[in-house]
Amino acid sequence: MKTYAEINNKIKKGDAVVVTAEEMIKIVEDDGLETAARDVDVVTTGTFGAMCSSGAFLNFGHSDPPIKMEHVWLNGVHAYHGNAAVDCYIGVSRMSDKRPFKYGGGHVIEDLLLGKPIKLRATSYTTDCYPLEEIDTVFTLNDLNQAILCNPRNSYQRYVCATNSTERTIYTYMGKLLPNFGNATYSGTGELSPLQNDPNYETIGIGTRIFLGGGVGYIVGEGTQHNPKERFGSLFVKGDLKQMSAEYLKGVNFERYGTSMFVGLGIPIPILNLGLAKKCAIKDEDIWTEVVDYGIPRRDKPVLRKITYKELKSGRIELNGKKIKCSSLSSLYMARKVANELKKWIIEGRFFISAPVERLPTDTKFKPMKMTKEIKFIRSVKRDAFTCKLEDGIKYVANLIIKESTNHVPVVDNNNKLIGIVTSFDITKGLALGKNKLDEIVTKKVIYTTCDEPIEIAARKMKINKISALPVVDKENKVIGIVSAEDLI
Amino acid sequence: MVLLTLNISPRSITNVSDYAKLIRKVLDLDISFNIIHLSTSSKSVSMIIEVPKDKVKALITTLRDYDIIIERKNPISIDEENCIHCGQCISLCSTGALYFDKEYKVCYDHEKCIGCLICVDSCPRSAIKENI
Ligand code: SF4
Ligand code: SF4
Repeated sequence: MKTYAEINNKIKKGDAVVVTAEEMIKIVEDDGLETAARDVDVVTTGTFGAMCSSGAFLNFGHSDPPIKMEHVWLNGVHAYHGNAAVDCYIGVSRMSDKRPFKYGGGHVIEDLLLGKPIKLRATSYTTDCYPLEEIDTVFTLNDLNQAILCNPRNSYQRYVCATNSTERTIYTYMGKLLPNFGNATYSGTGELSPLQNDPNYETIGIGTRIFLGGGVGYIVGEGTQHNPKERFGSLFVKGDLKQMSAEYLKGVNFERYGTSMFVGLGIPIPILNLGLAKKCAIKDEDIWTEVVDYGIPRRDKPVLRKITYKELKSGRIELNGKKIKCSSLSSLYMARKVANELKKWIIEGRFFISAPVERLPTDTKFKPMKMTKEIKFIRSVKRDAFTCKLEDGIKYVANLIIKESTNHVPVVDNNNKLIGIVTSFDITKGLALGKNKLDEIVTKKVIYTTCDEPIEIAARKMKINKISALPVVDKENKVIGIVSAEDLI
Repeated sequence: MVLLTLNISPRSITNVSDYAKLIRKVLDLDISFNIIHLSTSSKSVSMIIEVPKDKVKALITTLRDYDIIIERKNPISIDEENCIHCGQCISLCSTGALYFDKEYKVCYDHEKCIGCLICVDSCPRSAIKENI
């Protein structure tokens, strides 16, 4: 058994034995648990992934005449201002007004670290003590009084693996997901992941000194959405941005999703006892997560199967009897760099471990949002559909459209299964071109909805596909109704 | 002139009229081109065409929206400075042209790349560039 003080003493003398979590696995395997627990003093961990709940507090100092900033932009990215006159918070997920999806708060932070000049624009409603109405200036990181990286949710213990069951490519915070389970993506570093190596937070809590963005940071407490019971713990962290490096904080932009920042974070875990040595030897094959269908844009997405990080890291996963390509969103290469850098700092006596003032809670729950309005489903707004068969002539469908004053007629087979759709426009066009067979004008790739789809999701389907109605089908693809854009308002 | 291979992906062909789509879309762009080769199978239509260099970009941008896959030699390069080795591009690459090396660094093998360009917009660091 060792104490924090004993380990720090060894670090001071340059005698501490420090290994990364990946190296620890081999040591325990080769030398046994008892020897490993006795010999190893600190195990370093690391992760390097997109962490959207990140950002920095900046203080600019006062202008003359002074300004009480009401709205602040940094390189065109709106920063949050709800504090004193010249404080602001730049969040990484906020996108540039002029270059959305290309440049955001994370890029501003990276540019600050690269020493680049940043454009500051601020406006104010003015007061007797702060008369200046607007300001346009340029600053660099050195010009700031404080620049404090302050991330309310970082370093998830593990994350899910995402795939897509739908017929179109989707762009999500889990990256680009190809149709029909064309690929899968996951996040997290498995056996190297910080919280995974001390899952009961015996050494992790308020005040724990960590590696953050290439500098020294501290754990402030549990992160938002901290969900320890489900092994989805998270951290609230802070650190002095001025001591960090652009190598470990990288602005990113996910196509059609938005901006974020990759954060390098590592936690040293002191091997105080046998139990901790055992936990730090956890392997990818013992870390489980779930494959989830991101094609269903609901809070509770369908879980397709359970999976280990070992299978995820292999590059291919098995799904529905098929192998599909799978890759990470977080960088294992960089995460190893984090763990090795932290190891180096400790070996060189530049970084000391600290006991938490209070440990992270192990019993909090992650609750869903309280919603005061009930969600409405397609079930409640659908109307009866008037369908036709492929053999029906254009004239028949034209008459149906007039008689039932509808604009959309789903085409079904003999079992009432959806095989196409024709609109009044298709009919008009068909007639103008002298066609008389339905087959020549029908749209066969039909976008449809189901009874238990929330109406907002159906409305967005219409919007992005530029269509004004959706057939409603049941589980067997049989047409049971139709909804048009007007029904959803 | 540049040689391009165009493929209508199997998943977007549902009936015979889809076959005409490819040629129609190219004609829409008002580009004069030479058809070097045209083949159809039960699963896909593919066509090798020769187009003027300055029209390549317009053609590729338009066709991509119609689920038409364009193959070209040496079509992309990876900006080493900006790549953070996240790996997001790897699961999208069906040919193995993008892969992890032993150290988990992302590598690109242009020999294996067919220029489908599916990886390009997936990169969160905009590090994959089309060579045009
Ligand atoms: S263009 Fe296509 S084949 Fe080439 S690297 Fe990208 S995904 Fe792979
Ligand atoms: S997606 Fe971009 S940053 Fe990530 S590994 Fe591929 S090229 Fe590098």
